[in-house]
Formats: sequence, C-alpha cells, structure tokens
Amino acid sequence: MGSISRDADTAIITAEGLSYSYQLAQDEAAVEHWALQGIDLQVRPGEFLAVVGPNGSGKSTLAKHLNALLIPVSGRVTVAGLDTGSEEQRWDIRQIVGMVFQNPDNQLVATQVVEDVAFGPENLGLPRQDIATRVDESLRLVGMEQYRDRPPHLLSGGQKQRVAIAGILAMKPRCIVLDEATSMLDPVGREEVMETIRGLNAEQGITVVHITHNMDEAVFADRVAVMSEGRIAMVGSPEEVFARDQELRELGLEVPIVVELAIRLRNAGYPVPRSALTVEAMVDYLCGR
Amino acid sequence: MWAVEVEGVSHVYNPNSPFESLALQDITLKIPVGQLVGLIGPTGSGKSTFAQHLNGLLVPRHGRIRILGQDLGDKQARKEIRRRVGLVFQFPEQQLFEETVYREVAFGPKNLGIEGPELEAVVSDAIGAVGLDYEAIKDGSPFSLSGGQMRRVALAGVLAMNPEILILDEPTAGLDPRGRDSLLRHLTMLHKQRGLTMILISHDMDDIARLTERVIVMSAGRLVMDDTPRSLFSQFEELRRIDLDVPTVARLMHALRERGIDAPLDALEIDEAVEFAKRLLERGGAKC
Amino acid sequence: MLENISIGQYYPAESILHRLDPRVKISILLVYVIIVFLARGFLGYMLLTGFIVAALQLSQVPYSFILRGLRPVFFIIVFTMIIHVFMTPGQVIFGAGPITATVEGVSRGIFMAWRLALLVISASLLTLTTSPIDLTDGMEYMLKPYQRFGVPAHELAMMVTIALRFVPTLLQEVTRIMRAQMARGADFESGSLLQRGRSMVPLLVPLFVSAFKRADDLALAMEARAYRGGQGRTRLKVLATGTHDWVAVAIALGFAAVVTYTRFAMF
Repeated sequence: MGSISRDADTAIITAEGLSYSYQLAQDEAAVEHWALQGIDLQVRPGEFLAVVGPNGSGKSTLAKHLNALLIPVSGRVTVAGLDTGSEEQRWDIRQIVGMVFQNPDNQLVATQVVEDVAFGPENLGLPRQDIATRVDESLRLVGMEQYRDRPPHLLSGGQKQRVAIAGILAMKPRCIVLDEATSMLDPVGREEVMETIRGLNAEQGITVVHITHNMDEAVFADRVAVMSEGRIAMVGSPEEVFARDQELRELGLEVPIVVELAIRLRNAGYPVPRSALTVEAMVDYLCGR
Repeated sequence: MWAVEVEGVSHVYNPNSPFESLALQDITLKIPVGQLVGLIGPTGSGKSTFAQHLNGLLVPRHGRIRILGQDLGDKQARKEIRRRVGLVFQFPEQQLFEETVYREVAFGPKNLGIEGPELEAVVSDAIGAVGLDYEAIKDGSPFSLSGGQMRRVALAGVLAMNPEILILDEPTAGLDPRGRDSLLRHLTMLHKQRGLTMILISHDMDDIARLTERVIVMSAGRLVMDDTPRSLFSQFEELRRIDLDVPTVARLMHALRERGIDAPLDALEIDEAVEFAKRLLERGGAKC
Repeated sequence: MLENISIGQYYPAESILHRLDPRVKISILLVYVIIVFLARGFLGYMLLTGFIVAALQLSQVPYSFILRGLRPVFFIIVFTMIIHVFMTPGQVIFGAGPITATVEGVSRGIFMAWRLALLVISASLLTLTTSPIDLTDGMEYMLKPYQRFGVPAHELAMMVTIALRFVPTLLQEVTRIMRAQMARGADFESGSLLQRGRSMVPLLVPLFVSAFKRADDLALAMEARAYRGGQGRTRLKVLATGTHDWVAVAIALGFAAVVTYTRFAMF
C-alpha cells in the first residue's frame, strides 16, 4: 500500500488509547477484567484489515467500538472524524460503518429477503424510490437477486450472511466490519462470503475489517492485526505477521499450513519468499519462478 | 462383531407431502468395532440424517440397520440402542439446560437409570475426560462457562452414558485454533483409551486426514466413496466434482501435478510435503 | 417438515381478494362481524352466507383449505349447538326431566352454530388472502392515528413481523433440541401428564435461553443498522388503495345496510 501517512485524518477509523471493561461500563465497582487495554489502531480507507486472535482476546469487543455499539471507558474512537462518544453522531457513524454479525439468523429481521435489505435504508428515512434502487443494486452486488422473495429460514448460512451484507450495502457505507461473520459457516458458505467481501473491497473500494480466528482468511488481507488479552500484539502485512510464527503459536494461534511449510523450508536453508502464503504462491516458488 | 451394519437404507423427508424428497438412497456399509471413521460430504448430502439413523432417532423407509448386533427394526430396540450409541449434535452447547454442570452431565445417565455413587463416578469421569476440572465447575451453572467449556460439558453429557459408539457432528465448528486442537486431542485419547467406535462428521479435511483411518464420502444422499484417507484424498478430481475440498497438502501436490511435476498424490502430512519440497529444490527446482 | 408450514395459513394466489388493500379487508371483516351479531332470522343468515360464498368464489382458495380452518373449532360448534338445543326452554320435542330438547332450542342451536361458522370462515378468508406482512402493515396503518393516545402502533407491528420471521426458525430449533435430548435418553412421549410436563424442561429451557440470546443479538444488529424506533422511518412497501378497494367497500357497506334493514324491518 506504499507509505500511507499515519496521520489520523487519513484514517477512516481511529482508536486511541481505547480501553474497555464490561463491568465498568455498567458502573460495577469491582473491575475483574479489562476486555480492551490501551488499543491504538487506525483503519486506512480502502484497506482490507484482518483482525485475528484467540477467543477472549477482545476482537469482538473491539469490533463493536468501531460503529459505536460500545463506547470506550477510556480513550477515544473516531469514525471519519466523528466521535463515537457523542450520541447525536452515533447514527451517522452507523451509516458510515456497517456491521455483519456472527450468527447468520440473529440479524435478519424481516420475513422476506427484499424487506430485510430495505430495513437499513428505511431507518435512514430515505424516499421510497431510493430504497427500491438501493435494494436492487445491493442484492445484485452480493449475487442474491433471485432470492428476493425468499423467507430467511429457507436460506443457507452463506446466503443469509450475503443478505446481511446486502442490507449493509444498501446503507452505502464506507466501511464494513465483519464480526466473526464466517465462523458459523461451512466451507462453501465461508467461500461465498469471502469472495463477496473481497469483491466489494477490490471493486467498490469499501474498507473491510474482517474479524476472524481462521488464519487462512487473513492471508488475503492488506494488513493483519493480531490481538491477545485485550491488546494488539502485532500489526503488519500478512507476510510480516506470519513470519513470526513462534509468537503466533504462543498466542494460541496457528499459521496456515502453507506458511508452516515455507518456514520449515526456510529453516532448512531454502530462500522461500515471505509472500508464499497460498498454495498457488508456493507452487510458483517450487516451480522456480 | 460389527459395530454398524447398514443394508440398503433409504430415507425420505416429508413423505406424502408436496415437500417429499429423497434424503438417503440405498446406503450399505459396515463399520468394525473400534474404528475411527470420517464422514464427509457437502452440506445437504445427508450426513446428519444418516447419523440419526444409527441411534434410532430416525427410521429408514427401506433397508435394515444393525448396531452392535442389534436390529433396529422395532421401537423398543431403537430406544435401547441410545444407551450404546452416543450422538453429539452440531453446536451441542445449545442443548444445555440444567442449573448445575453436575446435573447437566448427569441427565443422560439418569435417564438410563444410573444413580447414587455410580452416577457420581460416571459424571466426574466424563467431565475429566473432556479436560475440565470436575471439582471447580460441578456446582456452577453451565451458562456461566465460556463457549468452548460449554461445548465440552455437552460432550461430557453424552460420554457419561458410556456409549460404545460415538458419533460427533462437526465437533470443532466455531472453535478457535486452540480450542479445536484441544478437543481433537481429547477425542483421540478417548478413542484409544475406551476403544470407542467413532464416527467423525466434519468439513475440515485437514482434521479428517490427520485423525481418521477410514473416510466415507456422501453426496446427494448416496455413499459415493469409501477408502483410507490417503487413497481418498489423492482423487482430487472426483472430490472436486462433488464440491468437496481436500487437505492442504493434497491440494499442493495436486497443483504441482498440474504443472507437470510428479508429486505424490497420496501425501497428507506436512512432513511429507517438506521432504518432497526439499527434494524438488535439491534438483534445482522443477522446470514447469 | 415443520418449517414448511405457511404462517397464518396464507394461500398465495392472484385473486381480486388477494389484491385488495389489507386495511380495506380488515375493515370489511370488522363490519361483517358486527353484522353477523346483528342479524336475525333465516333471511339475514342466508344473506350473510351468500356474501361469504361469493367472497370464497372470488378468492380462488380451494374449499378444502376453508374447511380445514373449521376443523379446530368443529367441536366447539357442535358443542354450542347441543347446549342450546337442550338448555333453551320452550316447546319440548323429546327428552326427560331437566334434559329436554325444544323447538326453540333447535332453532337457536342452529343459528348459533351457523353464526360461529360464519365468523370463523370470514376470519379465515382474511388470513388466507392476506400475507402476514400485509396484515401487519394494514394493522400498523390502522393503529397509527391512535399513537397520540399511547398506542405503540409501530412497535406492535415490528414485534409481529419479527415473531413471524422467527417462528419457522424456532420450529427448526425445537426439532434439533428435541432430537439432541432424545439422544441422551429423554422421553417426551410416555408417562403421566406430570411426567410429560417435567420432560419439557430440557426442551423449553434451551429454547428460551437461545430465544433471549437471539433477542439480544437482533437488537444489536438493528441498532447497528441505525434503527431507533418508528420516528423518521420510511417504508419500501407502501399501502395504496385503488378503485377496486373502494368498490369493495361500497359493496360491503351496501350489503351491511341491507342486512340491517332486514333485521330491523322484520323484527
């Protein structure tokens, strides 16, 4: 991505010294556990950022701060310059940053696909004709046009998540956050969702923040942020992050099998490039390209 | 003796209704006692439906099923077989309901008529077998546990019934890498220690390749392949046609084959991949 | 199988009745119900029946569906009739002691049963020809003027929509939970009433726990999509009345007038 200025103004979402505790947020006196501690993170416009970490590392808690579903206990989160702490600006923030959740069922609200996709724009108070156009376009972008009239319970997991994505797209966001949106899906569903969001990132320029514990999905990101126990342990390109495989393992994560192969070959003296993260890239290297 | 004998089994969803459809078609198969079998297939291929026939929850329209020598033809036999066949559904933590972990795990054995000191032994045993601290959690609410722990409690609930056959439907679905590794390790241990016959339904081909000694493939209600992991996963085209993936190492070998390199298609483990890659690079790279 | 049950017994078709505005249909039903209670005598009831039969014809719904709607209340109807036959004083036909069947009883029994049947059929006709979404929209619209009196029209409609959305999903889940507990030896079929009641706990508790989680998740997802109640919301689908709606209203009102006339002119 070249040298992007670290200036907060060019970031679409900025977290500064973000700390959060579920107990403190509810005014409980005893703080047993900080879910997030001093997070500093910038989400760059147009990037595909993967946030990985074991369960309990705070990934989901962080995600919910990106669209003001949670407010920091200390520190600050700004979205396109707007402070998530401000109540009036919350609603604008939620149009700018959309979120897809983990359970495909528990985010679909209407009895038909087309109605559910319209839910967001309806909340924004848009005129009918605009809503209709946006719904059509969003369904087309996720490839679910022929399922317009389908009730949600007749869809597969991957299809439900695509409808959820369409519902967000209809609000014309600048950024979509996927909060472990693939973890309850089968491989086919995961593939559908990954293909969809990669397409949206590449072709529509929508910033994507993909929260996952599946390292194979992080391989396609521009940057990977690794979380552990409420902190960011490391941030960098997939090549940079996966090269630190020992640390990743200590944090309770694994590296993709291809990466492990690359590391073991490197340890044996073969100059496998750090970009060899996928089967295709490894084959290229082995074929002497 | 065979653990599972299935002959010509077919099953229909929603019979005699406008929604009638074929769930299973003419399944015939035998599983010897103590085998660790993997059952794979695309979603909708009938894996879960088949699993539910093995403990009598579902009745086939045609065909016969014998479990541990017992014919499942009549209702009484089907009820009784549930003592001997444990079925762990996907996301089993969704079935927890008791006030304490103890009572939750005791639910199954109690239904079998076990009580008193024997019950306590069976419960503490099962909870230990899944890697949880019996004394620490037995009096707590199952709902206060983490997702991974809840899943283990649910598994313990089935293990406490001391089944001879254990069927697990996507046991690692939704778990993070650490949770997955730990659970699979415990399952392998259980298989060895208790000599269980195990059927592992999974979408994770790497897990299947690593753990199982035999893989059965289902597609559109039929049994289409039945082989050892090595032999099965070398048949890349065949599996692709049914919309199935193969373990990463197998994918790598296949991709190399496509480039004209004589890669071993039955390689499954990363050690083998490392060895072969080294040999390739020794030769000064392959011109492909 | 359970998930294939259509909610509210909606029968999809393209009849005139299907195309009427739901508010119009609800209003006509209300008028009809009032008239059913108002009517008296053979002529009145025949007119009411004629109206319903005409509507049934127009609806393109097979008679088998209509009769299926009567099945649950069949025993109530028969029971009502029997009560009236034997409990109405008057000219005795047969019987002994306190249990006597009278002419007046038979007459009243028949009319009460008839009335019940008409009420059930007309209500069924509404749900058969109006999709649950349209019904909810119609109700929300009709309740809106009462929002100033504290009636939460939008919230009620939202609740109904979400309930309708989740019924098939919950049914799927019940089946799953039931099978999982049966795999652990739970028995939902045998035993005394008390035993069977208690055996429901492993079914209901997980269902409730998951339902509450769903509610939590859904509320969060709705907020994430900028939902903050009905204020300032627009709708994709807007109810609009057409000529056929006003014609239907006119016919219904005319009919109501006729029946009212027969009621008061003849009695």
